[in-house]
Amino acid sequence: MQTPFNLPDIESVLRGNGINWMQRPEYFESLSSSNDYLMGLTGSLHGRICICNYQTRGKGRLGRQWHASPGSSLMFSLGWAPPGVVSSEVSLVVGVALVDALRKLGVKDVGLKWPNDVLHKGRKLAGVLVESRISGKQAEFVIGVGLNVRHQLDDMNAVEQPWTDLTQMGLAEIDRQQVLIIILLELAQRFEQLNTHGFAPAREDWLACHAYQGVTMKYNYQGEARIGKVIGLDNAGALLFESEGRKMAVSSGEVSCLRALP
Amino acid sequence: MDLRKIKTLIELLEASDLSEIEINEGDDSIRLSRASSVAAPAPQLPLQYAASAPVAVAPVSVPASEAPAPAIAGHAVESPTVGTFYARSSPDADAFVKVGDSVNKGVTLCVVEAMKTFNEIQADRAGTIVEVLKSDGDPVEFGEALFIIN
Repeated sequence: MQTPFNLPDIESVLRGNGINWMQRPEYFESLSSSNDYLMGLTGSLHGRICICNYQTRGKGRLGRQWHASPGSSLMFSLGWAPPGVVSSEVSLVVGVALVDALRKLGVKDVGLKWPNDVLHKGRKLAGVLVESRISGKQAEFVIGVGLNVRHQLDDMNAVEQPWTDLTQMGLAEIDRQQVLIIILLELAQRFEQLNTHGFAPAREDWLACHAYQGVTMKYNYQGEARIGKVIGLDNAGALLFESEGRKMAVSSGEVSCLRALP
Repeated sequence: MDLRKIKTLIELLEASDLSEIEINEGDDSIRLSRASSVAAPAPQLPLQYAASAPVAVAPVSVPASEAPAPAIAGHAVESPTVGTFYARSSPDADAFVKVGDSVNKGVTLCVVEAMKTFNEIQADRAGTIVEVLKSDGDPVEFGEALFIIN
C-alpha cells in the first residue's frame, strides 16, 4: 500500500542536511500513539522516528485525548538521547523549534503557551507531549508532536479549547511530508544548540514568541488554584508569576487562561 | 526549618547574583541578605519568592550532594529535575513499585513531571526497594532522593 510519506526520501533529505543521527522514519496507519510505540521499544531510541496516520489513544497532557481523524494531522514522535545532562527544558525547546518551522512555512502570528502549546491568534495549532526514561544521568527523550493540518469540524466538536489548522491559514494543499521534514530539521538545529550553548538562547527565543506575557493566568499548585500575572521564564524554563507582590516559579502542573485572548 | 535547608539557601544565595532571598514555609520564615564590602552593584530586581512549597522556589538547581541524606542506608535514586512525583502511571493504576519489591536495573520506579515532560525514572541498579520517600503529587527538587534501593 502506498503511504502518504516517502520514507527513503525523508531519510535522504535528512542526510543531505548533515543530520546523520535521525533514522529512516517508520510509518503506521494506526497506533495507540506514536509516543507509546517508541516508549515501548527496547534498545536505544536515539534517532528513531515514528509517524502515525491515526492514533487510537492519542495522548495529550493529563491523559487528555488528542483528537484527529486519519490524515487530518501530522503526528509523529522522535527519540533523542542527549550526550550531556539535559532536563525538562527540552519541552520548551521543542515549542521554539515548532514555531521556527511554522514561520518557515509562512505562517505568521504564531505564539507559545507555556510550556510548548503552539497557538495561532490564541487558537491551538500544535501540541507536544514529551516523555523520557532516565536512569542515573542517562536520559532518552521521546518527543511527540501533533500538528493540525486539515480537520473535519465533526472531529473537533469534542475539543473544548479553541483550535485552528494549517488549512485555515491558507495552506490547504500543504504536503505533510514537507512539513515533517522542516520540523525535523528545526528540531535537529535546536537540539544541537541546546547541546552546545545550553538553554539560554532558546529561552530568549521562547520569550520572544510568548503569547501570554503579562497576562493574568490561573495555575494549579499542589491542588490549589492560584492566580497571578505571568512575567516570564526562569533560567530553567519554569514559568514566573507575580502575585501579591511576590514572584513564584511554576515548573509543573497546569496553567490556564482566565479568559480567551482578544 | 532545619539547618541543612538554611545551609542550602546560603549556598544558593552565594552561587546566584541575588542580593537577598526570602522564604516563607508554613510558619517558618527566613530572609538572607548578601553583605558586601565593595560598592554595591546596581540593585537587582529583589526576588522574593513566595515559598509555600519548596519546589516552586528553586530557580537555581540544588546540587545532588545537598539533598537531605536518606535515613536508611542504601543507594538513593534521585530526581533528575524539579517537578511533581507520581508513583503510578494513572490515578487508578497500582504503584510502579513498593517497599520490599525486588527490582532490576531499568525498571520504572516513578514518573516525575516537569514542564509537560513526563520523566520515567528507572532503577539505575538492581536491588530491593527499602524506602519510598515521596507520595503521589509531592513536589520534588533536583537531586532529591526518591527511593532507597539496597
